[in-house]
Amino acid sequence: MSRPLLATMVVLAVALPAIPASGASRGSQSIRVYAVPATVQFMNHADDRLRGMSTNPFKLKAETVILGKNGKEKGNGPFPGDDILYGFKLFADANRSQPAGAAMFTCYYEFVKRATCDSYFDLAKGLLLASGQVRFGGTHFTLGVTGGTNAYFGALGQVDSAPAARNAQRFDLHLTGLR
Amino acid sequence: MISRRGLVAALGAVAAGAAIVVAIAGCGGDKARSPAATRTAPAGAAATPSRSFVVYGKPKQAQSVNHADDRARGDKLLKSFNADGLPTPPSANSGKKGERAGDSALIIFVLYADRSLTRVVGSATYSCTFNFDQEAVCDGQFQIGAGTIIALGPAKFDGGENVLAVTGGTGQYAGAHGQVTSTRATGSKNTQVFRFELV
Amino acid sequence: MSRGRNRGRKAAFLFALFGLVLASVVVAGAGAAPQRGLTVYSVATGLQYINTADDRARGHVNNPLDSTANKLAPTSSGNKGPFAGDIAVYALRLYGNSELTRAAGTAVYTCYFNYDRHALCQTYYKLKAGGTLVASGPIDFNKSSFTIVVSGGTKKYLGVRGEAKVVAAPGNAQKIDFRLIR
Repeated sequence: MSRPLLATMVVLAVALPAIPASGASRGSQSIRVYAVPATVQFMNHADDRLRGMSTNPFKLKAETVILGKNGKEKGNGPFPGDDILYGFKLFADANRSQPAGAAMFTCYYEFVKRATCDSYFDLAKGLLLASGQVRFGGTHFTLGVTGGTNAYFGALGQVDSAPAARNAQRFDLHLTGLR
Repeated sequence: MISRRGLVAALGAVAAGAAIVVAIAGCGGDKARSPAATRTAPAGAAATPSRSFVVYGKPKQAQSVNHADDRARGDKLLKSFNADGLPTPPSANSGKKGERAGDSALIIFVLYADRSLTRVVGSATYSCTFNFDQEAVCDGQFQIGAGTIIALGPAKFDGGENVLAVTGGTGQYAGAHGQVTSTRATGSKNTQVFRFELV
Repeated sequence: MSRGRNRGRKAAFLFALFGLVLASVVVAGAGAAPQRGLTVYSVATGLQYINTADDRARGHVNNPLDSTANKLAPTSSGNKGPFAGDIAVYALRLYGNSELTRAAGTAVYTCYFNYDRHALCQTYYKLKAGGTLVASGPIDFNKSSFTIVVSGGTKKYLGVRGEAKVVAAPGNAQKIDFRLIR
C-alpha cells in the first residue's frame, strides 16, 4: 500500500469523530407512576372572555358557541380561556406506599371543553416535561414528552394516561433518546 | 501500489464491515426514530420529501381573552415580586385590544392535505399568550392522522411568516423534532400553509 | 507476483478494518450525540404582571369541577403573591459577553404561576446568530438560579434539545449556559 493512501486513511480516521451523526440511537426507559390529585385550582375568565368577544382582533367569532340566547354562558364550562392547575402526588405503586415525586398540570381550555395541558413530572432522578391535549374530565389521554433534566436529559417519547383505583391516575412514561 | 483485484476486495470488505456494524447498531434501536412521523408524510400531503411535509390550515374558531382588568391590577405590582423595579414596557399596550401583554388567543384550524382544501387530515390548536410588540408565545398542537405534533415558539398575527420549534409528539409522531413554518397561502386571506421539517 | 497478492490482501484487510472503524465511529457518535455549548447573558428590561384575582375568586364559586375536585382547592395560598393563575411576562436582552457590550438577541419568559411562588415558564430566545431556542420548565421564584428544558429550536438550532442553566451574574444580569444535543 502506498504511503499517501495510508496517510489519507489515518487522517480520515482521526477526523471522523468530528462528524456529527444524526439519526441517533440512544437509550429508552419506561416508568409507571400513580398520581393522586393533591390540589385543583380553577380560574374562571368569564369577564376576560366577554371582553375578548367585544374586542376580538380575529375575524372569527365564537359568541354562539359559548353564549346562550339570554347572553349567559352555556352550562358550567370550562370555556375558552379558562385554566385549571392540577397538582399530583406521585407514587411508584398502586398502594401508594412508595412516594415517587410530584407532578403539575397547567391546562388552558379551548373549545369543546378541550385543553392544551403543559405538565412537569418532578421525579427523584430528574424533571420530565410533557404536553398535549386533554378533554375535561377525560382520563385516557396521551402527552408528548418534550424534554427533561439530569437522568432525563434530552428525553423524548410519550406519556400514556389511564384511570387507576381510588381516584388515582396511572401514567406510563415511555422515554426514548436518553443518554 | 494496490492491485485492482485487491481494491475490489477491499471495497467489498469495507461495505460488508460497515453493513455488519450498522446492522448491529440497528438492533434495539431508538423508538423515537422509528415512528412514521419522521419518515413519512400524512396520507395525501402535498409535498412529501422524506422528512418534511405540508398541510393547509383553515381557521375554524378563534377566541380572544382580554385581560385588561388583570393587567391593570397587575400594574399595581406586588412589591415583593418586582424587587428589581422593572418597568412595564410601552409596547405592552401597543397592540389592538386583545393583543396586549398577557392577553391570550385560542385558534382552531381544520387541516387539509391539499391547497384546494378538500381532503381533511386533522386539526390544529394554537394557544397563545401575548407579550410585547404584538408578539405571542404559542403552543401549537397538530393532530394529524394517528398522532399529534407539538410545537412552541414566538408568533405574530400580522400575516407574516412564523416559525415554531417542533418539540415532541405522540403516536406516529412520538419523539418528533424540528420546526414548522406557517405562511399565508397565496391568494387567500385566511388559509395558512404549515410546512413541517422534522429531523 | 505472490508478494503483490500479499500486498493486495494486506490492503484489503486494512480497508476492511478502516470500514469497521468508520462505521463504528459513526454509530458511536450517534449513541453519544455530540453536545454543543452556548453561553449568553441576559438582562431583564421589562415586566408585565397579570393579576387574575377576580378569575381565581370566580373560579372558586363558578366552576365545572365535581365535589371531590372542589375539595382539593388550596385553602391557603400564602400572604404574598404571586398566586395561582397569575402570569408574569418578562422581556430580556441577550448579550454574548459578561460585560454586556455585545448584543446577542432578545428573549421573552412567560410564566404561569401555581403555588408557593413557583411557575411553569415558557421561554424563547431569539438569537442574532440566526435561529430561536425554545425552553420551558418550572421556576422557583424564591431562588436566583434555575434549570429549564430546551425542548427545540429553529433554523440554526433546528431539532436541538437539552437544557438551560441560569445563574445570577454581575450587573443585574443572568448567565445562561445552554447544553444542547441533536
